[in-house]
Amino acid sequence: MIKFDHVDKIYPNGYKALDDVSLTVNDGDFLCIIGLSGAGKSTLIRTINKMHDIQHGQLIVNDVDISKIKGKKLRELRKNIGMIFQSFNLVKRSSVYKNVLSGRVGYHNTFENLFNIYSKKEKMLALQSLDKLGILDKAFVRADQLSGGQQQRVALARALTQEPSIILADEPVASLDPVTTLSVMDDFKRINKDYHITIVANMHHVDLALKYATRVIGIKQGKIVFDGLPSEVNDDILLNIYGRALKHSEKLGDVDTNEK
Amino acid sequence: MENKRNILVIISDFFEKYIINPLNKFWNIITFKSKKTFDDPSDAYHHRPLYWIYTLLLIIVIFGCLIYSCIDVDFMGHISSSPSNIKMLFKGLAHPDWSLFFGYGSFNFSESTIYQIIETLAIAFIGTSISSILSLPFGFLASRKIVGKWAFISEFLLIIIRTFPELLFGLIIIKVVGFGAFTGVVVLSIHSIGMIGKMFAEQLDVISNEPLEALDACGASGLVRIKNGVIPQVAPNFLSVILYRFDLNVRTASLLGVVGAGGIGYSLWVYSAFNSWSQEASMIYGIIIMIVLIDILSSYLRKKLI
Repeated sequence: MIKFDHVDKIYPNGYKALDDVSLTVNDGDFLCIIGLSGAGKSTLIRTINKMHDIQHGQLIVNDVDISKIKGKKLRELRKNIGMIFQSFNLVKRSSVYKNVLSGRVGYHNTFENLFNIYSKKEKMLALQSLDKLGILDKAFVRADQLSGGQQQRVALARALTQEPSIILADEPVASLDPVTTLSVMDDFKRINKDYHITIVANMHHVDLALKYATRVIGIKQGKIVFDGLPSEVNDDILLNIYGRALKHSEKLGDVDTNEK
Repeated sequence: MENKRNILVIISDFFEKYIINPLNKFWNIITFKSKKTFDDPSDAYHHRPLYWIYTLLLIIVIFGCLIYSCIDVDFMGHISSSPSNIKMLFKGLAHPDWSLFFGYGSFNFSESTIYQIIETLAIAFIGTSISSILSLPFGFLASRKIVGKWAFISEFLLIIIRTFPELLFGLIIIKVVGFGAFTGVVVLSIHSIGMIGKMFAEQLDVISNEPLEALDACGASGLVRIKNGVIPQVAPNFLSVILYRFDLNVRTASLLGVVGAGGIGYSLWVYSAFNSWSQEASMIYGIIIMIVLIDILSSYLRKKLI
């Protein structure tokens, strides 16, 4: 469970990126955050694993108040939170297998990490994660030889290998083509359902957010302006979040098969 | 008869299981021929490439070479004979000859350390300038991005130039040109092409293609492409390479005098040969000051460039 309690995030230059945010994310939620660029979506996600510090308020993740922890306790927290990035953030010159296995670093001390000492169970776990995402055959290929969608699946496999309770996804499909986008989002959905992992993702594609999320957060200038079910999102709410009404084509990600 | 055949089968099974198969597996691993598709994770696990084998092989090779080299180099052979000379040198270093350094008293200015430093810098400067210009055609012709497969000709020439150490080159040039600073200039001008040309070619090979594509689309000819698309991308790096080589050439120029090709090295060699340690010391201090200053200057300028 993630609990924001009157959280403020102020950047060193004085910019207030999060303004009095209170929010509770339940276990097993598939939460999508929508809003304009610069509204604070990424900041919100990155405060959860303390990539960004918060200035005021309280933020509780898995029963730990993270505003004060650091060092070993922080690493312990991050071990349980997988993170997915827009540009995949793989070590491109290493093999897929090594990339995925690096999801286990939080479980080992420095010595074991330096000499790549992983148990057979962990190696199998890495390969099983790849198998779950359908890219087992690419396991020993260099990461830069994979397509964008495959690379994002490798990143997802790396997060799965962490055996996390939460996966944070910062614009996970922003650099993928529409068809790949759908299949990667399907993977997210499957992981969310099958393994009961909480997913917090921020999205530019309103249609996708509404299609996949179990809960949608609208954020505007650092404030939460909408919090509810995807079915409750209507044009008035989008008007409020984005400052003006969105045309149908502007909701993006518009390759939905429902209309056929 | 039946028994005999059984024994043969057992032996061949044994061979296959314990010798042929493991050898095969090992061979597949070291030749990167692991399986391409896997039935399930445990299949993949059993056919994973064992990356540590490469690391191990590398370590064995490096350590082997190290051990062999240590046997070859005689560490203790010559230490015992030199302490008295070292003592004299340190004595000299404590009392450098300042009249030689600045060129007053019993010394002319043309003998002084300062004058020779200026001469050394001049040799390095002229040599680097000439070789930079000569390196341009070599560099462009050695870049695969510019001339394609024909790059090998210029690459080969650059390798030949790099093959000779500067001092050896100096010994050869002296026979042609004679003693003096001009020889140093010729040596540096030619020898530096080897490195500068190679570095130019490397910089040219990593430029991005997109601007060139855009120029092609505008209908640019070959030379216009180079002027508008290539030069702006590489100019700062080229200058940085030249500065770095100037830095190196100052060091080289101060050694070249040892073979008689001008610069401070000649005095350095003469004074040490005649055991004039205070004079030697003033030359050593001169070189240290010069090299430190040039090093600071060149790294400052290179930082500004990139």
